[in-house]
Amino acid sequence: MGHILRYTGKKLLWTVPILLGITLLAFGLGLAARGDPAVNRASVDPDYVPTREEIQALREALGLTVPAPVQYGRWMAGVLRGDLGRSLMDDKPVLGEMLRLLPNTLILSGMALAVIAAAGIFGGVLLALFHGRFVDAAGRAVLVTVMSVPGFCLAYFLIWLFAQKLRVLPSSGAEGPLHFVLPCLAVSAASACAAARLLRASLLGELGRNYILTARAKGLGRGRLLLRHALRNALPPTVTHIASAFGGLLGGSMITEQIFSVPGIGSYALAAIQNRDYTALRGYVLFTGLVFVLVCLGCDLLCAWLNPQIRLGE
Amino acid sequence: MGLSLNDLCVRFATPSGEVLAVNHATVSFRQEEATGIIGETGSGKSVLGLSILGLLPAAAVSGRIFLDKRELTALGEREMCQIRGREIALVAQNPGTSLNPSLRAGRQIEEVFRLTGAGRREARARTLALLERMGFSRPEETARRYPFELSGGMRQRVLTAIAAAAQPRWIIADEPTKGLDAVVREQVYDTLRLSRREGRWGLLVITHDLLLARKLCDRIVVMYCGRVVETGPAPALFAAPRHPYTQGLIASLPHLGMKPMPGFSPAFTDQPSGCVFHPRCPYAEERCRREAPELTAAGEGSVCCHRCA
Repeated sequence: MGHILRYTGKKLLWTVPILLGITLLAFGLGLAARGDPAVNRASVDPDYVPTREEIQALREALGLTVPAPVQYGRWMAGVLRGDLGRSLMDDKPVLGEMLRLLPNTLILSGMALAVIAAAGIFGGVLLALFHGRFVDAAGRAVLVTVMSVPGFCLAYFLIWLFAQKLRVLPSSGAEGPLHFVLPCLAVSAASACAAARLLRASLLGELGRNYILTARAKGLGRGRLLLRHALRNALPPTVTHIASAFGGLLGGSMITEQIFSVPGIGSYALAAIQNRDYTALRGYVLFTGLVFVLVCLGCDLLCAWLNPQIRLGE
Repeated sequence: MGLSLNDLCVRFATPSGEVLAVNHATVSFRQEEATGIIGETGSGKSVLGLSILGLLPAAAVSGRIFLDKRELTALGEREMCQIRGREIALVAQNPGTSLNPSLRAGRQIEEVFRLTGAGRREARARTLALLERMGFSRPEETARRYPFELSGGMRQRVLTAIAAAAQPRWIIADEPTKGLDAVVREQVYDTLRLSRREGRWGLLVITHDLLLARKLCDRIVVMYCGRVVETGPAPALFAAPRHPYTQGLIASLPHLGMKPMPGFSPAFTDQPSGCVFHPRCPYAEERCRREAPELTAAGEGSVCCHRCA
């Protein structure tokens, strides 16, 4: 028990430099990007051409003229107090806006994560169970086909099929649970297929190990062999894959939310990029970075739980 | 009554052609005896053991295997699952990797009791009792351990407990001393001895460890290149080996002068004509190069050599 606490503590300590690196990257993004947020903000009204003095005044008001390290220091001081600053465009607090939009994104990525994990594990076990038979060959062909279609193509295909032809699911919005079905399928399909293929391969690899011979000699059938003996040892690569797919989900939500008109933090970040609203963008990058780091931490702990050798520290 | 193999062949397709890992083996084992199957690495003895349990691809195996009057080779996979563990059990080779690394030792033994219909509590209790009989002084603690927390000798005993759990009629121990140091080898010997007292099962010890076979077994089957070349009662076979290969094996024992046999086992894909042992045989004649000898009864056993026929 003591060991797993030490292990968790060590992993938690490691997240500190990672998070620090993320804040530097998030901040650096705004510095490296071309263009001037003050110009964008001053030109909100297309009929009005701002003077040079007005832009300069705005720049000073937004705090863009102080040296970069000082800007970073001020921003970080805010971050540590839980304040991500105010949007350069409309002065609304970034954290508040993101928290308002967060539920939709969380529901979408959470559902997608569940679908990837469930479908990936179920599919992988099924294919391994029928290894070398028709189900396995056909299943693998389907998986490769789905994996090779880009996510947005799949999204449009799903909209066409379910919303336009069959008219069973809504194509846009975020009013009820049904609205999340299509975007969730669109973002999770490829990762779920990859997870199933990965799990199938590791399960078949495990089946060649010596302990499986012992288990077979006990009189266990193939199903129990896979579920009770091989699965636990075969899972860690798939768990790691699913965790990194979750990172992709967060980034990919930008496109998905756009296609399915779901108001979420992905759409918020996309608007921030278009407006050169670097404070909002920083907030987004920091937030998704934090979530991803936490998911990876969870993944490490899950793998440690699956493998007693890590858990007990051998 | 017993376990008998009738013209058993095991074929494997390899990139360099088909390999006959077990070559027309006809031999029977008696349940009241411990039989040692000895031979060099690659003589087909482990494959022979696995084929009895039906653990090889069905297409690879031809010939017939009988358990008493039942023909195992005619059973389907589902029926073989009923035979495995309950009637014929295996102590797999290599205790280091033959236990599931992520399941507690106790769970892996309990599973056998559960398969025979015992409830969770009963399986637990019987596991602890069995561990105690297998020489573990603190069975609860051992049951909680993962395989990597146990020593090699302990793992071997856990493996033997798994095989003994369902009180099978046969236990096949596959290379129980392979890769173990002298102390652990001695423990394995004691464990197998112990297991003989534990139940009345027939024991089939597949080994290249002649000393283990001599100490433990009543009967010996010698294999060379997938063929059974000599069988006989252990004391007689060790005192007066008849097949030149058996003579060579015994002469290579450390306390008998450690004379190594000349030459190597031929590759399975490139076997000599006639008697498969003739290139290494000190008595080889013209006939041995031309004609393969048959396994013929001789005394209390049988031998596969022209000189003894």
